[in-house]
Amino acid sequence: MPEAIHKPPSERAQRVFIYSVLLLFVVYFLAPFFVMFITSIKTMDEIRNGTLIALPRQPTLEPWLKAWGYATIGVTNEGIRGFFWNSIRMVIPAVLISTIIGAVNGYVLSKWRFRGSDTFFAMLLLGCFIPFQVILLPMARTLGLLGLSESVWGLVLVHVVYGLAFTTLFFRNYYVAVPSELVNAARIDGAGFFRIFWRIMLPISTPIFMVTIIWQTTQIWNDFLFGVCFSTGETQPITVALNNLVNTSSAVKEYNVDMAAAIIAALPTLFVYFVAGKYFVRGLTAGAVKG
Amino acid sequence: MASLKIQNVCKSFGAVDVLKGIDLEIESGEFLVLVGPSGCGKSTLLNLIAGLETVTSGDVLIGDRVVNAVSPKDRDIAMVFQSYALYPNMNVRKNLSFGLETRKVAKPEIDATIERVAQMLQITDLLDRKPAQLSGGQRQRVAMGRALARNPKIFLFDEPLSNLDAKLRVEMRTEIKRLHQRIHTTIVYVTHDQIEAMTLADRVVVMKQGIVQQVGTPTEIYDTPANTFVASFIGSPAMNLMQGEIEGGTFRGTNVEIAGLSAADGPVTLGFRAEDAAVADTSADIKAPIYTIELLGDATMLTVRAGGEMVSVKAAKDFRAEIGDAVSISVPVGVCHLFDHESGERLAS
Amino acid sequence: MLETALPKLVVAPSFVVMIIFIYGFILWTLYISMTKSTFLPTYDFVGLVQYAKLWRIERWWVACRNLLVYGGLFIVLCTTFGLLLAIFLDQKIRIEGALRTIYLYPLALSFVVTGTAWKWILNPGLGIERLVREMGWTSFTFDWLVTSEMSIYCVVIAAVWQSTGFVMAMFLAGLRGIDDSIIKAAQVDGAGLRRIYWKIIIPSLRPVFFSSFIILTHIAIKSFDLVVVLTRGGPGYSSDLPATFMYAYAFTRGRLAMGAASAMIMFAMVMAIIVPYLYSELRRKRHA
Repeated sequence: MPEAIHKPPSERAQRVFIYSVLLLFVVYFLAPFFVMFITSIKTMDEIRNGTLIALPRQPTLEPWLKAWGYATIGVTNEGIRGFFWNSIRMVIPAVLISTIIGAVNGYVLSKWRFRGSDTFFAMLLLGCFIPFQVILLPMARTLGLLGLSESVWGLVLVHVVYGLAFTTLFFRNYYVAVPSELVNAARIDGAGFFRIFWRIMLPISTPIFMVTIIWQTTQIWNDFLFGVCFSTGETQPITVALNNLVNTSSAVKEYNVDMAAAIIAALPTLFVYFVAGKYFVRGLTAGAVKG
Repeated sequence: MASLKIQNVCKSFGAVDVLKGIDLEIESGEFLVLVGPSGCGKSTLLNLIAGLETVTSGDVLIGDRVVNAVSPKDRDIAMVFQSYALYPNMNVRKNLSFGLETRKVAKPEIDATIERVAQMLQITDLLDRKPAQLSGGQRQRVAMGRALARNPKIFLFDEPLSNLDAKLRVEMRTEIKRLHQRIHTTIVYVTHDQIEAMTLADRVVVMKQGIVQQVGTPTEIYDTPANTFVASFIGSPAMNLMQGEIEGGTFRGTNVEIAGLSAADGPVTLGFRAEDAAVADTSADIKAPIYTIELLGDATMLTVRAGGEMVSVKAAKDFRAEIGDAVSISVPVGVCHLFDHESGERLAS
Repeated sequence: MLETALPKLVVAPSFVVMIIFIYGFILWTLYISMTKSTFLPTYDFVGLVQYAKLWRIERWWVACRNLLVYGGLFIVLCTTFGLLLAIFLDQKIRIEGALRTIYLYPLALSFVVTGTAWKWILNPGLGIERLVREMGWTSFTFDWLVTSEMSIYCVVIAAVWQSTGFVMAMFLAGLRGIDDSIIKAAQVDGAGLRRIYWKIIIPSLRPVFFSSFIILTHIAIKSFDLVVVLTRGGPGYSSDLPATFMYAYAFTRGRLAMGAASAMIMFAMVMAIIVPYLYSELRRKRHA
């Protein structure tokens, strides 16, 4: 569009309107986080006597320290830090295992297709969509039988199993776009199944590893359903602990501590989002337009 | 170097029969070109030789060994792909050495081989670059280098020049020819470009719909096409084919009458090449108004309607006329090819 | 023939896991739903009794009705706002990158965090109600969170806040994928900008509408965390959704069979939408 020096007034009004609407939504999207943050550094007195958007007069870190270190959650008085580490201990192995298996599966389903591999893929694809309620009861029972219902490893298993469909999908769709001639050339050069994967496919897979790792990290860190169903007490992930903190029926509600805890629970995924937003969005749309 | 035999090979993908009983023998050191329109099965045949696909029935023999169940890496072949298929993450040197490393060739030998191949193809300066930093022609050279470095029994080329622009294509064509004359390895080369086929091949295999139409030297294919498909596929422009009847040794069709042929009476397809006919004043085998006229520089190409088809004739470069002018064309009996009017097969003369 | 067997061997474990943990478990749940299991699963087959009972439970009806209201509003609002934002962002906005980052960040958050934030904002004592009253409108009341008829709308507000950016991202990708020459042709034909959008651009986004509809429906049916944190299904069970109903019956009230039956119905709902979608997607890919 050629840049006109004197825009007609109607066009200028239109631009103003567009920018106003866009900025209005900025307020809508930022306001909750802003409110959370200022609440988390107010004292309870200030909260009771002020409004949502009043800036703190005497900012305090006390709610953060309490949320992290000594707030009462369930039966313990040690804040959410233990649950934070639970989530970390759960996320790292679950993400790594599901991503690696997904990469190999995707490689086979795109470059070494066999009779039935398309059916396998279709079944797996369907698995991306099932409402997990439909597997909760058998899973709870199975974890019990395996003796994993009280440990973080139980959740790792669950997240690996139900993350596989997504990771396989991501890698398969990425590798489908890699020309098969490349694999054929390597086969003629004498490379076998694993060598081709290792020397040819892996070195060009950095973007899809980023997408998959970020997607899985966000999904698993943010999961609540599996956490609440398959863990108890001290093995719970942070989302479950946060809910327990927020929804206790104890006498005094400490909103500032709640907000501090919520921000702490959000920090890892927010960090990932702001550092690697490009891959995050690509994962969203890749997960959306499946097939 | 090795010979190659294809014996009654069939290949089906599900219900689709791509190759329907192919028989070929390729001598050691021969340059064989498989040519045909897209979908004729030529690339599938190449993949079967490479071992990238397995035959549905029949045998592939390298040397005297049946290799149907031998995986590509154990067939001692090298292949150049249409898209070059250079490993994007490796530099040129690594691309060349990958196949040797997988075969556990000693390091000094690898270095020597790369040196030799790089010099042969003039890519020594490019050894440290990644494929993405190369031009199309350079990638092509590297792809050939990768095949050469392996020093295989058989080279396979899958339309290696079709991603290059016209000028580069001609250049690389001569280079490939020169290469073969130097190393004399057996080559099977697939293309859809009949000029490539004619210029490169010791022998040409013309294929259509999974069936071999004709095998022969370029001259044989050009001068005595086995059927109307080969006649119209090889040569530029394609051979003129006219429909008509023979009666007492004279071929008659719309605007055309050629006497002195020795063939049985009945309907027939008569073919001749544009350069074998001439514009004439007296003789009048074809008499028709000019339909188009093109100046080619070294000649003038005319087309007229005759025998129910468009017929092109090469005239002298200074020939001038207007569209619609009547023109007389002589077609000597010696240059006429007769084909069965239904099957299209060549009639014995 | 190790070479041909190897790929199959490599995916075999995943295949087995999928068969057991997805399809086997679905059948297992189906079976539990046809028993009289209470606190522990029992395997006495009673047929479809639980399903018949389920539809006589008031709370299940509330959950389904809520899903309709919540799902409907959620889809319509997310699509409207998402499309609007995408079109506006596509007008050569100078700070587009920054705006996109802001619109999308809620997606990185857990629904539990989102729920915690909105629970505080919508809280009748100290939240928006107090804010508006302090600004001078002293009779203002905003107590949806604790009102049975309105609490589900609180869930809608929070869910729309979280998911609008996602729909925007999809529409924006769709808009960027439209062939410029079509728009130029329309301009040459004398169509105004608004007309071009209504008659050409928005209709050509039909596939995006379709996939975002599918995804939003899918999110709506699976919604669980947000309700638990924001309203705990309450007051009473007024803001229950099928997912929270299932959890309550299966895990806290010891009615396993009933929980399994409700899970199977959720499964059927999702499949009714997803299977035709996937089928058409895969078919389109094959014909493309």
